[in-house]
Amino acid sequence: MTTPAHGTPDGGPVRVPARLVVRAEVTETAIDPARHAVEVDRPQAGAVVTFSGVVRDHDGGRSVERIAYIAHPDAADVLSRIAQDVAARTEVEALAVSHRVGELGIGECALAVAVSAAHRAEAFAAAALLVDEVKRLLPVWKRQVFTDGTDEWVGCA
Amino acid sequence: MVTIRYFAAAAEAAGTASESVQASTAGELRAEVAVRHGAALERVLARCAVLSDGVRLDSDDDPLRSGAVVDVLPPFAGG
Repeated sequence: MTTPAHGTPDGGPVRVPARLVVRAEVTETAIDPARHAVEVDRPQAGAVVTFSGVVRDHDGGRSVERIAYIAHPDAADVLSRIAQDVAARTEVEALAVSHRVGELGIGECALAVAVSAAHRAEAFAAAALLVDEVKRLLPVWKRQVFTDGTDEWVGCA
Repeated sequence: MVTIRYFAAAAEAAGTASESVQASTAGELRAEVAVRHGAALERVLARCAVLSDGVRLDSDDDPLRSGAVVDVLPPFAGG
């Protein structure tokens, strides 16, 4: 018995993940994380992981009223490159990512990520990597407005 | 002349989103904007990445092309 050079141990063909980017956008309109999950759904995927980064009502012990996000003019291109890079580096069938800009209230979604993969470990890993890379590389900034009327640029106060 | 684009906290500290300055090196540019905008911008600038035509300026000796677009980018804060 020999294992085929290009095949699984039981002789079946190796499936190469599709690694498809179905959405990568910076948008001024409300983001629907559930729609991202639907968009990455594939017959080959046994796992779909979604992540929502939402505006919370507190930061550093202070009470937050809203957050304003602004983006560099190149942000959409950067997000597209991040998405393609993560798709190429992971075993995803498909991924989708959106980042919101503008004025967001408490509970609104600022960042939505959805990935599908054959198995859960690959899906969790790809979703975490995509979120980390967006936070590291996407030229977006946020100004927190506190309930006492003061505000600050996050990371630059 | 180079065009400087300020973003987020840097734009707030400079009081403008964009301006033109006469500078042929990164050091000259830093000195000129410090004179124009004072300590508030210097404080923010210390935390910013400064890119000329998309390439990061690391040293005060780095040359600036006439007509270059220089971006002053505070730490990213997406998500």
